Amino acid sequence: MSHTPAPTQAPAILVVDDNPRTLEETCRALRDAGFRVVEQLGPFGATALVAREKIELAVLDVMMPGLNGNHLGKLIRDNSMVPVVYLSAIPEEELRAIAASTFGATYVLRSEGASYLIREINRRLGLSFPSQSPTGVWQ
Amino acid sequence: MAVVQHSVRHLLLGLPAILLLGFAVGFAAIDQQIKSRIDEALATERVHVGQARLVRERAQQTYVSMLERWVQPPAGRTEKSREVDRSIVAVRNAATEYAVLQPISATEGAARNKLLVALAQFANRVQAAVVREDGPSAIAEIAEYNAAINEATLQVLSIDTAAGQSADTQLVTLRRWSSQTMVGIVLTGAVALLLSAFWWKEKRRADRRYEQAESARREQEYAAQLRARFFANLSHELRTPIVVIQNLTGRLQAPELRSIGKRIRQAADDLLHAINNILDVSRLESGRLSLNWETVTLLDVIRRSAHRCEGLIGEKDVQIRFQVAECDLSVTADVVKLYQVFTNLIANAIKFTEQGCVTVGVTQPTNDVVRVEVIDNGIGIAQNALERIWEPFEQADETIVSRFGGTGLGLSLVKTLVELHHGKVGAMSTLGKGSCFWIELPVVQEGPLR
Repeated sequence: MSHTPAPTQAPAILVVDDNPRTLEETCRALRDAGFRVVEQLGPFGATALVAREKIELAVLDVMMPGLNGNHLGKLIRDNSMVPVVYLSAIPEEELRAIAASTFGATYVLRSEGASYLIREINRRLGLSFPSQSPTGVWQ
Repeated sequence: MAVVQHSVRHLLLGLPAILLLGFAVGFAAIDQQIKSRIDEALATERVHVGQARLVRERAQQTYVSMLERWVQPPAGRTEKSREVDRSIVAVRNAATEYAVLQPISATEGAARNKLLVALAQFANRVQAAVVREDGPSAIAEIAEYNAAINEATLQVLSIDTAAGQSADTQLVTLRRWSSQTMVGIVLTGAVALLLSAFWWKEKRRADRRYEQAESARREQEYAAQLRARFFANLSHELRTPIVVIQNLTGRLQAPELRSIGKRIRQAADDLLHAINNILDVSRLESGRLSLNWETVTLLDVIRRSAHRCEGLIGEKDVQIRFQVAECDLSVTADVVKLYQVFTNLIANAIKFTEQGCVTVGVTQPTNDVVRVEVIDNGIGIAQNALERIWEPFEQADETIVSRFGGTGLGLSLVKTLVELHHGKVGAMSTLGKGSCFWIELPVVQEGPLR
């Protein structure tokens, strides 16, 4: 598994965020890496999307009004068993605790950048999409 | 505990008060009783005395009348005889009334009986004399009986007055005692009231002090809450814009902007790093730090930490390498703090290395310990500075800040955190050649938890 799959075979990643700017950044970075990205502004309707678009992994922002991020994660997980990755700028201790409270969820800090997010998605799905490390020195 | 003390105090105060009150009431009642009985006795004595005197008076009257009868010329004798008869009747009546009275004491009763007997003898003799008309010959006998009456009356009277006197003195003594007890009761009551007032004031003062302490404590708690909230907000407010900068710099893809973007990114990374250090040290110092222990694979933690430092490399020709003897070692730690430790060490290594390699080595010198070394070929540290660098706000030399920046907090944080994990830190270095920063941590014997 050391090649980049063609876009049509690329897995569908759901990205949910209530901030349009950060949503756009994340989606752009994932698409540049070759993923098929389904984006959702705000939490409502996300669970329906998972089923409809055959989502393989969900990237969720945490602090969303109306339905807190980890509740959404739990909902998605309970309904579809899709792996969840939390993405947030909140302090790592809190993010870690939130990820721990959802079965099988991991987290990526926004400060770790898109490159680490891609690596984490690769790891969870057993793939190897390219992640653009700043120096490319990562082994 | 203070509440119990207070109740005990109140009990101790109330009990004697109640007892005293009871005593006072009891004593007053008994006193009242005694006094009334003494009054009764006195009254009785007065009656006795009066009656005794009356009896003697009438006897005397009879005697006089009788004497007058016999010296009376025949013309008035009948009249006088009738007078004598009347006197005798009066004497007998008085004697009968006197006989009915309750005796005051046995001696009084005996004396009274003697008097009554004398009276009876007297009256009988006088009557006999009137009937037999032998007055002059009877006079001597009658005079004797009269004397007997007088003597008996005197005796009775003396007993009565003695009894009366003793009752009087008893009464005076009792009254004195009674008033003394009253004074005692009043004094004790006053003392009890004073004590009670004093204790009450004490209690009020203690309550006020408690209230003050409570409100001070509440204020402190509130202030601590405010501080904690301020701190959380501050962390968020400081980190969020920096994260935005970090993310946006990735978008400067145009070739002429790329290097600018990288430099902005580096500065933002440094800033975030410094802010995190300051916040952590502040939290450690104020005791707000709490550890969440988990068992993790050490290598995963190291790799992620190394990734977080990659942005610091920037344009420099520096690589991060791994030399790992054991891949599967687990440690029990607060994972986020471990990230901080390794990030700090690796970031330092990168910062002080212009060109070359940062190697992270993982070995297991003994069964219980894992050793992680971060080796760089940077500017190195002078031997005399090697001890100092672990202290907060210390840099190896004064020029470090101007050349490399930094708050001097990183290594002191690393040391504190590693020691919180029951580990050790150390450094070795050759000036100009490079440095090796090592930490040792206790290792978990079982396999890793994934």
